[in-house]
Amino acid sequence: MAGTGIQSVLDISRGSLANSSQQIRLISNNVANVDTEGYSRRRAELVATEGTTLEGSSSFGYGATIEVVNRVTDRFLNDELMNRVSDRAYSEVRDDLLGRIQSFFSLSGETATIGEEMEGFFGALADLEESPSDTALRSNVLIAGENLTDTIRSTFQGVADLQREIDDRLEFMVNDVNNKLSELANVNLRISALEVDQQQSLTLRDRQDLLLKDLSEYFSFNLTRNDDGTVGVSLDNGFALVQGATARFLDFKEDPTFAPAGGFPNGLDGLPLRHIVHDFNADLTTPSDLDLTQAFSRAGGQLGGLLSLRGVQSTSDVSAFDSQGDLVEVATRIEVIARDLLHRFNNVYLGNQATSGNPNAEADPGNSPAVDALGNPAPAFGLFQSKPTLAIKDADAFGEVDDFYDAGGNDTEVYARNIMMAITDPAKLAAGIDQDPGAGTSVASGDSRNIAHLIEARDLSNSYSFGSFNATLGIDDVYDDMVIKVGSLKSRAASDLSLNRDREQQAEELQQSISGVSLDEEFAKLITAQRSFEAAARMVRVGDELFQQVLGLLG
Amino acid sequence: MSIFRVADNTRFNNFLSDLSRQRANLETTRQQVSSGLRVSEPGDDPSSAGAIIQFQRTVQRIQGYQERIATTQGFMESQQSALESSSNILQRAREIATQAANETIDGDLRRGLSEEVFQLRDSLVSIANTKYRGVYVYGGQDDDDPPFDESTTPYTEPATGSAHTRIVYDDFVGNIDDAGNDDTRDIRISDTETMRINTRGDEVFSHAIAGLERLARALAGYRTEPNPFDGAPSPTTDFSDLPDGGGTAYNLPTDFDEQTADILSAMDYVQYAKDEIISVEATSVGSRINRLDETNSILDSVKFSTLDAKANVQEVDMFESIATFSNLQTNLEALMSTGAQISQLSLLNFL
Repeated sequence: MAGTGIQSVLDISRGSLANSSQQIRLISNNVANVDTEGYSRRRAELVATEGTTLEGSSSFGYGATIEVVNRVTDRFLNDELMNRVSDRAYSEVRDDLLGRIQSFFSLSGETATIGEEMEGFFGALADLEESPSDTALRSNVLIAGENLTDTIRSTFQGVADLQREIDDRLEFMVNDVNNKLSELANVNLRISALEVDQQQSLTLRDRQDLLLKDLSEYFSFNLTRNDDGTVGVSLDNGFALVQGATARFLDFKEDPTFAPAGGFPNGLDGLPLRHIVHDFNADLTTPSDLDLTQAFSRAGGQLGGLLSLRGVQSTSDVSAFDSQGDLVEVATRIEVIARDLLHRFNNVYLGNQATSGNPNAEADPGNSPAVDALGNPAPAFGLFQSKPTLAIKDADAFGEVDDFYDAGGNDTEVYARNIMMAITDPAKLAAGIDQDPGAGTSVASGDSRNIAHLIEARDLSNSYSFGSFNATLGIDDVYDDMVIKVGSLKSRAASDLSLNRDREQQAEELQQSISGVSLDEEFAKLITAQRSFEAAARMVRVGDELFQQVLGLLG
Repeated sequence: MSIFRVADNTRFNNFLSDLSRQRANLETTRQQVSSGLRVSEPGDDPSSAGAIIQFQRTVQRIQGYQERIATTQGFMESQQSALESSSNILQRAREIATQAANETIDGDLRRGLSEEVFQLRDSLVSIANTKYRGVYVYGGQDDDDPPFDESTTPYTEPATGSAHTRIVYDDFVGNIDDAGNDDTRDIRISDTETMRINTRGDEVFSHAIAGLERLARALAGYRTEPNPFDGAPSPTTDFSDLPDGGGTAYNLPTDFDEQTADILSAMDYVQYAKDEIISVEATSVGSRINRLDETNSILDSVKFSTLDAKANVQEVDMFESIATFSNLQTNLEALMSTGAQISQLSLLNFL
C-alpha cells in the first residue's frame, strides 16, 4: 500500500537521523575523554529492525536501532596490565630504596665507608707498631678508631632510619588501600543497583577498572567477576578484601593480638615495627587480629616491595636481626663487624694471646698482661666498648663485652648502634705486653707486641653465626660480602625494573589498542556518521516530495 | 606482536617513556664522564665491586708499607752513619795505641794520650746513644733510657777522673720477646714479611767501648779486670767478660813492659771490635738497606699493577664515553624532533 510505504520511508529516515546523531554524540564523548585516565572507548551496537511481512513477500525491514552502547575492553588484557603494574611497582620501590642503601658503600672514594675507615684504623696500628712510644701515632690510632666506630654507628643508623621510613610509608599506604577498598565496595553496590537488562553503567565500570588498577600498584590480588557486574578482591591466602558491597579494612598495628608473650622484638632503631592486620572485632572493644603481613609480603606491588626490604617478623623472633628482609641482612653484617671488634679484637687487645697462646681464648680483663704507657693494665672492656654503662650480664662480675646474652639466654642488644672507643687518652693505649705480670710491671716503651697481635687478628678467619649470617671469614671479608650483597640486590632491582617497565608498557599498549581512543579513528567515524545523517535527511525530503505528489493526485 | 590500532594515549606515553629513558642514559653517561668512573656504586657492577674493594685495600696496604719503609730507611741510614763514625774512632784509637806502644814513649806521654782515647770512648758512647725521631737506635725496645750510661759501680782505681768512669749497657729488665729472646725492633714490610731494623747496643758497641776503656786505662796507668787476653784476640777468645770495675795501678817504671803488653792487647781488642763487630754490623745494615730498596721496588711494581687492574675494572674509557655521550645526545635530539613532528599529524588537520 502506497501510503504505508511512504510513511515507512519517513519513519525509517527519522530513525536513521536519530541513530546518526547518537553516533555523533558518542564520537564527541570519546573525543572529549581521549585523555581521561581509565576511560574505555564507547561503541554503539546497531541492529536491524524487523519490519511487517507483506502477504506473499519478504520483510522489508524497518531501519535500525541502537541496541546497546558498550565499553570496548578486553578482560584478559586488563588483568594482564594489572599484573604488570604490580610487578613494576614492586621493583620500582626496591630499586629506589636499595639505591639509597648502596650510597653507604660507595666505591668512589669520596665518602667515608666502614671498609675505608677499617683500613685507616689498621694502618694507624701498623704505624704505631713501628714506634709505640710516639704520642702522635698513639693519638692517630684513637682518632682512626673513633672514625671507624662513628662510621659503623652512622651506617647502621642509616639502615635503621630507612627501615623506620619504610614502616611509616606502609602506614600511609595501608590508609590509601583502605580508601580504595571502600570506594570499590561502593562502586560494586551502585553497579548492582543501576544496571538493568543488558545495559551496563559504563562510567561506573570504568571507575571499577581504574580502582582495580590503582590497587594493583599496592599489591597483586585474585580477582573474581560476578554476573551482576560486581568484583571480588582477595589475597593468595584466600582472605577476601572486597566481596560485593562489603570491604574488609586493614589495620597497621605494633601490638596485634597474635603477638607472642613479651611482644615482638623492636626494629633496628630500637622502636617497634608494625604489622598489617584485619581486626575481626573492629567495632568491639576486644580486638581479634588476623596477621596479613606475610600475605602482603608475597603479593608484590609497593607493599610487597617495602616489606621485602623492611623485613617481616614472626612470632619466633627474639631480636631485630631475626626478621626476613634485605635491610635486616645488611644490618646483620654491620652488627657482625661491631661484635667482632667488641669481642674477638677486645680479647686480643687484653693480651690473652700472650698468656694462653690461643687467639680465641677469653681474656681475664682483671689480669690483663697488656700494659699502657703509664704502666697500667688495659681497662676491663678493652679497646672498644658498646656504651658507657654496659650492663654486666654474667656471674663473674667482669664488665665483659662478650656477654651478648641476657639472663634468659636471649640476644637482644644491638651493638652497632652504640659502639665507641673505650680509650680517649693516648697514653692509656696498651701497645706492649708484660711478659711476667706476677713479677711487677715490666714493659719496654718500645714494646709493640700487643699491637702486632691486633694486626694479625685482622687476617684470621673467624666463624660467624648470627641471625641469617653463617660463614667462616676474615673481618674484611664480612665487609666485602656486605658490599657485594647490596650491589647484587640493587643491580637485580634495576634490571627487574627495566624489564617490568617494558612489560608494563607493552601490556598498556595492547590494552589501549583495544580500549583507547584514537582520534583518527573517531574522526573517520565522524565523517561516516555525518554522511549517514545527510543521507537520512535527504530521504526525509524524498518522502515528503512523494507525499506531496500523492496529495496532488487527489486534486 | 604487531599493533594495528594505536590509541592517542599510547603514542604520547611511548614518546614520553622513550624521552625519559634517553635522558636517563644521557645523565648516566654524563656522570661517568665527569667522575671518570664506570663503577662508583656497588650496584653499577656487583661482580666488579668486590674486586675493586680488594684492589683499594691492597693499594692502601702497600702505601702503608712504603711509608714505613721510607721512615725505616732513614733509621737504617742513621745506623750506617753511626757505624762509619765508630769505625773511624776505633781506627784513630788504634793509631794512638801503635804510637803509645813504642818503648820510647814514657809513662807521662802515655798518660797524655790516654785523655784522647777517653774522649774517643765518650764519642763512641754518644754514637751508641744515637736517637732517630725520638727513638734510641741501639736501645732495643727501650725508648726512654739511653742504652749506654755510666755504671753505678765505676772502677775502684782511680777514685776520680776519666779512668774512674765505667760505661755499661743499660739492659731493660724484661725486654724479651714471646720466644724469650732479647728483643729488637721489627717492621712489617709486606703482608707476610717483617724485618729487623736494629741491633741491641750491647751486641754492637760493648766490646768497642770496653776496648777503648782498656786502652785508655792502660795508657793512664791502670790495669783493667778481668783480663781474658793471653796474646792477641782470636775467634776463640772469650769476650763475655766485660770490665767489672776492678784493676789496680801499674807500678811504673817497674811495670812498664806489662803496661806496654796491655796497650798492645787492648789495641788488638779494639781492632777486633772494629773488624769483627762494627764492620760486620755495617755490612748487615747495608744489606738490610738494600733489601728495603728491593722490597720498595717490588711494592711499587705491585702497587702500579694493582692500580692498573683497578682502573681497568672501575674507570671509564674516556674516549668511548665521550663518543657514547655524543651519540646519545644526537639520538635525544632526533627523538624530540620526530616526536614533535608526529604529534602534529592528525586527520583533524584535513577536515
